[in-house]
Amino acid sequence: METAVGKRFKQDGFKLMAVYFVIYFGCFAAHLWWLTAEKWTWVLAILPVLPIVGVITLMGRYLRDETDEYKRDVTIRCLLWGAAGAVSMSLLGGFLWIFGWKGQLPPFLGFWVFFVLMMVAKLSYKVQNRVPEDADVLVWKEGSR
Amino acid sequence: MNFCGTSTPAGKRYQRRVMVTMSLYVVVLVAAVLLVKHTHPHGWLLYAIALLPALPLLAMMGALGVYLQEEKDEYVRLITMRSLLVGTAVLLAVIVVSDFLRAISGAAPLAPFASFVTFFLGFGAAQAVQKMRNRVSDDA
Repeated sequence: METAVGKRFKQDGFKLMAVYFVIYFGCFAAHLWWLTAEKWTWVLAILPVLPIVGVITLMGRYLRDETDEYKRDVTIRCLLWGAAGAVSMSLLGGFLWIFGWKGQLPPFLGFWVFFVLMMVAKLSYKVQNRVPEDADVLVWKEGSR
Repeated sequence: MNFCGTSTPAGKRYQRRVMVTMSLYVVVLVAAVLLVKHTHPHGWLLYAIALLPALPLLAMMGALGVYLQEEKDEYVRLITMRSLLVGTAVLLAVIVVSDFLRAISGAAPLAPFASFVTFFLGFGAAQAVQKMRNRVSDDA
């Protein structure tokens, strides 16, 4: 069962991710049509970071307010999985470069690996720890016998 | 107080695991470099060999996860969790800015290991700042 804190985190997180995609495509469009001067490049590159920092801040607030110890643990584990995925992409590119590879990994690969791994980890924990919806009632009935 | 260090039994175990993974990293890295130097692999074999030295470094992050599970001291755990959030935020910020610059202006990619170093620098800096902010004098 989802807690109130968890629901608020999910809602705000989705809103911020929507903002991220608007800024992300907006920055590409702005670079193509309006802000083509080189001085804008860094500004456009930094703008999409803001909603991401926002999501991480939300996650910090969620971890502070969430009273369910297990849910907090799962969130941190998922974050670690995501970070490990992003870092592993960078390490793979680094070692390939050291070993003489001349190519480049596609941009945003690390970022997408981060989110996909985080979601996969979350799903796998959810499946592993699935309890029937009426588990609370069953426990209560067992207790009252 | 020593965060993620030797102040708690879980911290001690974490430190031991990090030592083991770092030793493994050195061994695997040397072996991979020698293998590439002598066999000149390419294609999928090169990708596979490039992934090998990354595994002990990923195991180091796994050790961090195990540490968080084992740590009984709520406060030390909270500090580590916050530091992990800061490390992840810094990591994602660096990746997004760098990839955006690559995509729109053809900038060079990040230096090898930049993400890994950035993550642990952010993590370490956050721990150090929290440690300083929560310092109590010896006679407190």
